[in-house]
Amino acid sequence: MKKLYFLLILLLATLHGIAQGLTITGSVKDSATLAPLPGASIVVDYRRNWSAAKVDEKGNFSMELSDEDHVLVIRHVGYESFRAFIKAGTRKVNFDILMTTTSSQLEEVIITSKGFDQTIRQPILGSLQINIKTLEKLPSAFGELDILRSLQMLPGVSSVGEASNGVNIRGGTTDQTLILLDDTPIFNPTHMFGLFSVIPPNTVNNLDLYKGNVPARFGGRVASVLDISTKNPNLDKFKMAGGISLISNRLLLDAPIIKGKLGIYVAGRGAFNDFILPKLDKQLQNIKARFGELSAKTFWRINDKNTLTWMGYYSDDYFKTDLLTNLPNVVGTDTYYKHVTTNSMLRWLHVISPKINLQTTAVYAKYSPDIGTAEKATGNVVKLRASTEQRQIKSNINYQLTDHKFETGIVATQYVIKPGTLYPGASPSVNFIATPTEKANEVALYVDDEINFSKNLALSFGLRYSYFMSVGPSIVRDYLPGQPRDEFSVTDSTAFSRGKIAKSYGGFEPRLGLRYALTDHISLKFGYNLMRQYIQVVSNTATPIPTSRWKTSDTHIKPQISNLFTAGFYQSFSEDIYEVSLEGYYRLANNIIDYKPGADFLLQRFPETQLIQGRNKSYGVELMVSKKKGNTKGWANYTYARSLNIVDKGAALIELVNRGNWYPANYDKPHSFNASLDITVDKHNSFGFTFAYSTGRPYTEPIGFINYQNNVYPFYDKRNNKRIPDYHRLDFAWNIYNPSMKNRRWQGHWTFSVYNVYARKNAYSVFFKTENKVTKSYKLNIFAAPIATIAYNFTF
Amino acid sequence: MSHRLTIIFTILLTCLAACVEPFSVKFAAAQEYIVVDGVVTDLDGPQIITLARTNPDAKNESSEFTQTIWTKGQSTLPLTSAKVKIVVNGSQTFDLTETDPGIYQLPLSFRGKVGDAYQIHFSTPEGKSYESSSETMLSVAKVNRAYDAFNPKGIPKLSEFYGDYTPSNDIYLDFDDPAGEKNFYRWQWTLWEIQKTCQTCNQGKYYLFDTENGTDGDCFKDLTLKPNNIFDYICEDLCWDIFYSTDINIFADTYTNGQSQKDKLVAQIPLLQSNPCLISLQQNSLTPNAYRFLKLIQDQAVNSGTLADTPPAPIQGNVTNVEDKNELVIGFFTASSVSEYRTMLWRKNIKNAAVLNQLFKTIHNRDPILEERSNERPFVPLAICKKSRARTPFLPKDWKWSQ
Repeated sequence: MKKLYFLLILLLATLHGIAQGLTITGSVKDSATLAPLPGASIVVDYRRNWSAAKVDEKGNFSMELSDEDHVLVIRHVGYESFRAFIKAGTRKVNFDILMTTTSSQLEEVIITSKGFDQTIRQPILGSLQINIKTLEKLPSAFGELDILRSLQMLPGVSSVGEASNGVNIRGGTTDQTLILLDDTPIFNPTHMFGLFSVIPPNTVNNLDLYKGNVPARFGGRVASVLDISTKNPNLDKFKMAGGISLISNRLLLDAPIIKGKLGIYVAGRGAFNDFILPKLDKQLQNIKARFGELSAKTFWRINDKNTLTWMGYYSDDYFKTDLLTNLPNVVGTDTYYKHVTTNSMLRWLHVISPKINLQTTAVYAKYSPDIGTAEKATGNVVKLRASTEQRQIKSNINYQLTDHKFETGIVATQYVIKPGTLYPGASPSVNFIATPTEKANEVALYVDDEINFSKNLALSFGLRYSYFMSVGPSIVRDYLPGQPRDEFSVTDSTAFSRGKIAKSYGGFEPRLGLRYALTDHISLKFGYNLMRQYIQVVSNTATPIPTSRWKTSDTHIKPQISNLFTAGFYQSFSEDIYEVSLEGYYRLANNIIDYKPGADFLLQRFPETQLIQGRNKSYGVELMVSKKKGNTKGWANYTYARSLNIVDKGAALIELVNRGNWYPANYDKPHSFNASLDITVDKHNSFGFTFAYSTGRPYTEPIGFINYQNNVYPFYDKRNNKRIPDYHRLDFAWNIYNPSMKNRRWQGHWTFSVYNVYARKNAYSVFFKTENKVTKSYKLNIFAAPIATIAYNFTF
Repeated sequence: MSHRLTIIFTILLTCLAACVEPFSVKFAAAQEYIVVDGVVTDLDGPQIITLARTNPDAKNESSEFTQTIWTKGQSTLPLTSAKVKIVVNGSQTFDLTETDPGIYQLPLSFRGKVGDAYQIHFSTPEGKSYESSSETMLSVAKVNRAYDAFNPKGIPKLSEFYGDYTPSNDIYLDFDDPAGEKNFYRWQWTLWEIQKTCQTCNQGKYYLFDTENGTDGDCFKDLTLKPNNIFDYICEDLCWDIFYSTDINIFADTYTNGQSQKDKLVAQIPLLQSNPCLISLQQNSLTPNAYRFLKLIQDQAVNSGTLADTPPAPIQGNVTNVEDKNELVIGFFTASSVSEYRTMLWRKNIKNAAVLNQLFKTIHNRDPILEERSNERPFVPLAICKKSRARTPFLPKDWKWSQ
């Protein structure tokens, strides 16, 4: 009945249009290649989407409309949308539109894999392309768009809680996810001990999360890949965007230098508002917490065949308090933390033919955390500085046919880790101590091939071969076989000179994805992945801290290897407006890192004495329902997932976690449910809601108390034997676009958001503390009150 | 690693309401574990080793209103009638005698020596045998200088999260770390405070009586008094209450080997009254394993509550069941050389944060209630200051009456 009514309106409207007469004609082409863009969608008066039309094979379109004011929007995936306003009384209008790919405008969909129905069609599974525009509309804490926090609304992505330094994807640890910002690795993804992510949202163009099939071009981490690409500079006109929120101030300047050829943008974000802290509470007087980011990108179209792109990224965190001494075993009064990330990327794209191109990329990434403590009498600062550096060069050839996509490449990577150097400054009490630099090289060759055999069957096949070498100078100890590695079991040691290979590992990493379409709207997919990881965080805390040590594989620390099996079912309904997906996975990771009780990695020359390796098994089922188009969009998902570890070798039985039995990982949260809703009311207003629920994460509860050394202490038996209370939270956002309603160049955008609307006091952790001979049990809540924020953003 | 700073920061930045809240728990151990607590030192005086068993019948519980975990029943029970001996350098053996339940004392003449190796052996009445690893007493540097600074926000009273503090005199010291060897330190302190009130009788009165060893005194129930009646009695003579440190204050010279260390905070002496007091600072040497053990306890029980805690785990000490190495035995046996530094604390810097002769009130949170003279008791007796671990009538060594 409803449909019929709809048709009637459509018919009447069409008749109405013919009677009054407004004819719109035109063509849609790529601004660079002048190739027609068939399939670009034309939306007239966005809210009245029944008048949508499509562009034909030759890129032409024409349509008849009624004589009123009209807003015309032409969109195509990956291109900047074209918008026009047509005043009532116009009879005939022609638009020859050249669409540029250089902007961030993707389709107004929530999550897509290049086209509405690609989830059904593409052979790889467990990959999500996330539209940053969608994330911007969702509520955020402090009005600060946080990509890692937003990702946790998706199935299979979780964390230990609000202050977690990274995300856990499908049962992987935070360092098992490779986070790439324009091909440069991010070693520490958060600011302020996990509260905000380091990715500057205003420069992000696209986010791809690969949690199932990972293409063979990616390697080096065993759980997943989060591939973030930033915008390209605008080659046509000057643009400015910025914003202000309680936490930070942002600005982006985008300027063409040679029109159509060379452009650059510079974007910065800074949180320097810590002067507010003492006003909130007197105890905050001596706290300083600041962070800032700066990123820049240039794009140079040398000629039709060659382009050059450079991206630079710098981030700086500083955190100081005099509330306690923090660098252990150094006598000091107040301590600061500082960490700096410096990343840079240069890419040369050479188009050999319209179907073949060659891309060569050089990458440099450095992460250096510092802890400093000031001595009481002199104020001299004692510093502990570490750094992790990665240099990489890679070259790949892409070959694209209608039913066949092929890519092959070679990657060479160098890792240089300085695990820690203690700089005494002018201190008379502290020694200069340097731990030996770790060096390692990795080379990898890969092939990715995607073939559509028929309409129903497609295969994605990837093979990577990686070879890792731990190189000198280094001193490698020998330990008695079968005994725990410690000072007592050392038998000998070998010195390796500069550049000499101390230990090497290598192997194939097959990646396989298969898609079988049962109908146009239903498909089944299967995937298998093997991945190897040669560099990891060693940490004995629930979530790594910014100063946690990175460690390459070596003679004693074997690379992590994971095998992932996935299967999925996908169905779309009502012309791809709705989509349902069900994915299941089973992952077994070998040589995961755990630590011995009392492990200490600071300035430790032989970390293998502190570490033990075990296995992780993770499995889960993810059900997701999404509505991808319309004025009300959103998704809901339910995940059942487990992540369990076992460490059954490498130490005396009594030192093994839970006596060598399986135990839940710190981030093991079996049930989770997330929902997100975006309601567009009109051009100026939209509302966003998100809801998240998950089972509480495990914690370790004591089993009793002992009297020891004049005090009473709790004692423990099994790790992670209890769970903190379940987590749930509702957020709300109201976006107001261009409140002046005037079509000026300066466009303002207000966001009013409330995080944790109903003030749920979610526990971040439960802990036990002995004070004055009694032990007390506490829970620590972060963001326990509703946080209402207004943020202002503008574009010019 | 400790990150109390981050919590405090997070609390205040993100939720202006209480962010650390009581959490109700309920737990019990399913089995019994043996607990060993023993340190052989080179100090004079009786040296004791404590042996206990955890009590599987004890139930531990806290509610959402009181964060304190209450234990129903004894957490641990003394391990009595064990045969305990200490073997020095693998040859010489000292047998210990049980003076109180679970408390085993070395011969009075026994005094540890730097360089000697000590090992404990004991067998339970059930016939299970246990032994520790051999612990060598390492030498310790002497204290060069100590000084104190008044800290109005010294020791958290109820809980550090509620911002209520007992002021303290913070003691800092300097010492020279010896070069060429790994050194591990622990600091402990003892405090002697003048006490004016020596006895409290609940529903009773204090009487003196003669015994073979002279005059003694005690409370005697008096049912004519109300059940909640309290009488306090003034000390007959000088009396000192003795307080001991409870916290774990340890240090390793990993980064500072061979250097002189300055301004190390080693003690926070609570300001219980304004009277001058005597403190003894003990700078102890630790074996590497004892340091590691104490560090673990500290991380699990004291430095917890950060954004990135180390998940707690059972802490295996250095005592094992001879027949079953996989039995978890809690606690540690070690040897420690002690460098003592005694000094009077004149408390002239306390800025009127305390009152003279206030010790009783500070501890009991009330003024003493003295028994009034009455017709039936025209002479209210003064209470005897009885020597115990926590009290002495004898002038402490190095006590001074004036600066």
